[in-house]
Amino acid sequence: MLTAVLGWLAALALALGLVLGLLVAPREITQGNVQRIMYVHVPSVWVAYLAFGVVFVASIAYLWKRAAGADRVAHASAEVGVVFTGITIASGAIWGKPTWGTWWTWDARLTSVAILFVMYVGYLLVRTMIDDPERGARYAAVLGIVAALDVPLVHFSVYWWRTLHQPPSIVKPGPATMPGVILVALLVNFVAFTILYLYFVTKRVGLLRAQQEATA
Amino acid sequence: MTADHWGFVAAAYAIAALALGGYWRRLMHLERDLKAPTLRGPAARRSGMPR
Repeated sequence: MLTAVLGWLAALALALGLVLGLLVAPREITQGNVQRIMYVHVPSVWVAYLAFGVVFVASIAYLWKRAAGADRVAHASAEVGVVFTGITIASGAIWGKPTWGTWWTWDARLTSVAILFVMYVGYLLVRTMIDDPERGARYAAVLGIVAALDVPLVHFSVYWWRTLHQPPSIVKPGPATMPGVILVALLVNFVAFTILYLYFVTKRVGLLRAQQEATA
Repeated sequence: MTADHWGFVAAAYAIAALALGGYWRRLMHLERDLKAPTLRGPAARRSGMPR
């Protein structure tokens, strides 16, 4: 029931976010309409941060209490996090070509996001490669904790190193500098992507539980 | 005036839609597989299903 409600809410919020991002928000003065990629790119990386933060907490909970529920949450969240990180990288590359003149450059922000992506793909591989589920969950939990340490590195890389990537648009010191309509469109997409994340994770956790019950 | 590059915008949104739609489809497939009744014994033999 909760999953279905989240699914419909996500669909409605995504539709609203799409309309605001593509039709209502004004054309950005320096980049032109290509800046509309921001309404996909920035909420995607936010959800990736959220997903890997949840993996971090759930992995600690699993190692501490050995609760199967915490392991399922970590597994589901990592899977969804990988999808959103993939979207972040792809949309960033597409945005980079017309604005920077290149699809990819080994600057600190892009490289740290790529490392994050590879580490969580590795996390999911560890789960499939180890036959003993309990041992697989334990190894994955350790990897999930270590990999999450890359999240602050990704976020602050634009301050700590000289990069081509612009500084954060919202999660930064001081008040927001964006015009109101652009900010509202971005926040609606943040909410939409977050609800979609919650829908995917609750659905995946339910499926993992059902799979484990079927094989027990 | 800056060029608008609508093609890049469309590509970014399309890739996001494909990735999210693809993951949703994967979840639906997993759910369908879990709900499908497993045939065992005589029923499986009659259906020719590998056991």
